[in-house]
Amino acid sequence: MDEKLSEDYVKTARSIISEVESGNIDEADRLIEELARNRDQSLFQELGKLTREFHDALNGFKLDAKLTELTGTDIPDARERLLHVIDMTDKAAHKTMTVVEDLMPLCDTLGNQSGDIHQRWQRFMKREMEPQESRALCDEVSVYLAEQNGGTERVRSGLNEILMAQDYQDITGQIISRVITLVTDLETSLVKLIRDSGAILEETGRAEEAAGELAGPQVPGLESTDAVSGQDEVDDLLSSLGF
Amino acid sequence: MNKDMKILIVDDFSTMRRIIKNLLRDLGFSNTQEADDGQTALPMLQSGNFDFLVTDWNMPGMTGIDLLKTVRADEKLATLPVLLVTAEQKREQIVEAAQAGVNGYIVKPFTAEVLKEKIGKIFERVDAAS
Repeated sequence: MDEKLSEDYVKTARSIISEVESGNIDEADRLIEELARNRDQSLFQELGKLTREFHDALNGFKLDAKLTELTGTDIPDARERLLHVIDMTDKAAHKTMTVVEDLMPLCDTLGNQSGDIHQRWQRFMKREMEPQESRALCDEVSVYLAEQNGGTERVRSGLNEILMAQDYQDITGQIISRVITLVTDLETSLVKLIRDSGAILEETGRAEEAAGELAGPQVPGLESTDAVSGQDEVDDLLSSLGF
Repeated sequence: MNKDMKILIVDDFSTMRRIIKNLLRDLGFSNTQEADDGQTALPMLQSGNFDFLVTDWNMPGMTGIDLLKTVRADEKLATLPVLLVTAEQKREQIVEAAQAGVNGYIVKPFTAEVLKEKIGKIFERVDAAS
């Protein structure tokens, strides 16, 4: 209630008392009616002000098309994009591991063969081998060299496949960059909305992590002060606990 | 340490399960099975005669720490050696795991060497105790 209004109230109230004391009841009635009218008027003024603010706020919502676009289209898009990132990294990792799992036994076989032949070859060089055995060795060396040749070719093509499987990094990097831009836009729009709707924007700082919630992998630059920085510190901590 | 021991690998990411499976095989342990969270792992453990459990912490369904606590509380499984392999590296979590009775704790990303060393240590103790 503004000051002028309360001054009017006091003035009218005093007049009412003095009119009643003087026996002018009609005049007192008139003043009471005036008082009620004044009060209604101020109520209507407040209501009018609120209605206007509400209307402005509604218009603000409508005008903030950017936010509508962000929440209606861009966020669901971002979700799809990030799912695609998970999918691509998953596929690349599996592709790489398939090649590795495929080549590992081949390397083992070739390694074992060459180890075995190397041993016998040394005996041959030291002339510790019977002619019959050395003839057999020659045949085996011939077979081994052919296998070695084919094997190297397979390893080579496998390594190429592993190399090509890394192409996900470029694509996922681009997708994630776009999502970062989106998050930044969203942040700007939300801050604007909060400011426009009149809410007080307090500096609350970073929200505390909820108790019992897992922190997940540490990110460079955003490390938690309560986190260890690697396996050595984990080992130190555990050994201090008697491990 | 028995190279034929039966190992259960629990992680919600199939790539991580595959990496651990390959590393274990490289160390000579080929008798491995996989589960994608604690809920799937538990019935396997209860009926499968496993000798060693390697588990992630953060998984949907049942987390690794809950799986560990359930294992320790289960009469038949209580002494099963458990290795946590996780990206969680807050001190309070490491302490929680230690208190829950974990046998080893590896933070991701990790190397084959670390995995080998921790498994070696765990079974050194297990073998010494038996």
